[in-house]
Amino acid sequence: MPRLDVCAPAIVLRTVDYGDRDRIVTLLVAGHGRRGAMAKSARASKKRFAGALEPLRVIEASYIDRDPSRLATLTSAEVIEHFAGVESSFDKTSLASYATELTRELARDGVPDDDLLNLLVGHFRALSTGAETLDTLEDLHTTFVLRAIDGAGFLPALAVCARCHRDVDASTQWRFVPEAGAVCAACRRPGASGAEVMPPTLRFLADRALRSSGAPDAPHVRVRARSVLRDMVRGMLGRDLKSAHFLDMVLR
Amino acid sequence: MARDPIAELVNQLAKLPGIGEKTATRLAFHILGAPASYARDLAAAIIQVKERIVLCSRCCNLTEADPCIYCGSTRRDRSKICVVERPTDLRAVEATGEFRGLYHVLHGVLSPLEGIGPDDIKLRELITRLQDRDDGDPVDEVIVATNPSTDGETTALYVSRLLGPLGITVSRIASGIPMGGDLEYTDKATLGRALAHRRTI
Repeated sequence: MPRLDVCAPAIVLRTVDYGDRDRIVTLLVAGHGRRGAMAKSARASKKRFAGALEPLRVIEASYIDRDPSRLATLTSAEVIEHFAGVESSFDKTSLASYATELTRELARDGVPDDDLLNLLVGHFRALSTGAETLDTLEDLHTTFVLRAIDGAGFLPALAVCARCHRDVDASTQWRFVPEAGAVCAACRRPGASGAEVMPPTLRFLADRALRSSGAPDAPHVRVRARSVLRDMVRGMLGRDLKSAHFLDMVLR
Repeated sequence: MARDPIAELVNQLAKLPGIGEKTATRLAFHILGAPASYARDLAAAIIQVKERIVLCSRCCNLTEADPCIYCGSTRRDRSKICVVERPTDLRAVEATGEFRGLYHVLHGVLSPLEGIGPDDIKLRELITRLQDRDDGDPVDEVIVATNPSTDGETTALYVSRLLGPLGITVSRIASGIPMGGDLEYTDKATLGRALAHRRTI
């Protein structure tokens, strides 16, 4: 592959210190997808990357790409946008970290995904500029997670039965199967896994996936929706995200 | 069959942070080429540091005597505790000569993205120390001196949240333009923070 010089907006998804002076960063780059890059002397010199190699920042990243199977070489990075409102709140930082980690898992190396990048940046802006109550924060979080999963093509059925496509209503029992979604009593396979879930919880999640705030929801609906959302992510990735513990500290 | 001693030494040295196999090999051959007394002194120093250095039972600093020289001193200001990430940060703060209070070493920072939570660092020890302050130090201020990184800030915010109910003032070390710095070349985040936390002169 010929040498490719890239200069594009990006968001830092992860940083890992390497040796005494260097730092390896994982970026989600506009038009280029997820990319790992080596930032030489990033820890020794604060001038070259001047505070840019931190999560929760949009940067202008310049790097040299010689071989997609190896780390790119980051030559410079400049902060384009930071989110002071997020950085000054433990709750918001925790939610933003969860969103960052989920994005890191959903993005693919070298596959452009500007929708996911814009979704994450929009989420940071919304967290930073508004969202002062815990319910508002949770709504933003739920909407982000559902839309990110939807964008990756993994959103399970929430408004209809995943198997017979009947609308979710109160006339029957419903279960949530992480890999499929809502399943009505008639379609449930004997012995199949899946926890019982009430229609208001499924409607709450379906509304959030459409970015509609819907009617005010009872606390028990939010608590159950939180658990279903976590099952959804766990079912998709086969494990919890590392930052899930922080999410629990904020939302419990 | 016993493993080749050179390969074993390279293997052990390569486990050190920042040491790759090439450097480990170079170090191993340096040790091989040095006098036998050097190898014995090096081995003894490594064993001694593990056997004699302990965590201070109050501040979690690395020390030979417990309590450490800072916690054991009668000349320090016992109303203030400076919270740092690592023992090396404690040395850096101490070297300024500007702080005469006590310390608490966390041995890390919270990191949501890496799954490092409150139970993975020495936060519980700090809380216990402050809850018992009627019997111990009369602490009225905790200064959080973690690095101005995302994880350092997260840790500072969490400490502030934890200590709020204890009625202790929690302050954060200032951050912004370094001495000798240039506004033109300062990044937006740092300059923005410097403006947000400006002080009256």
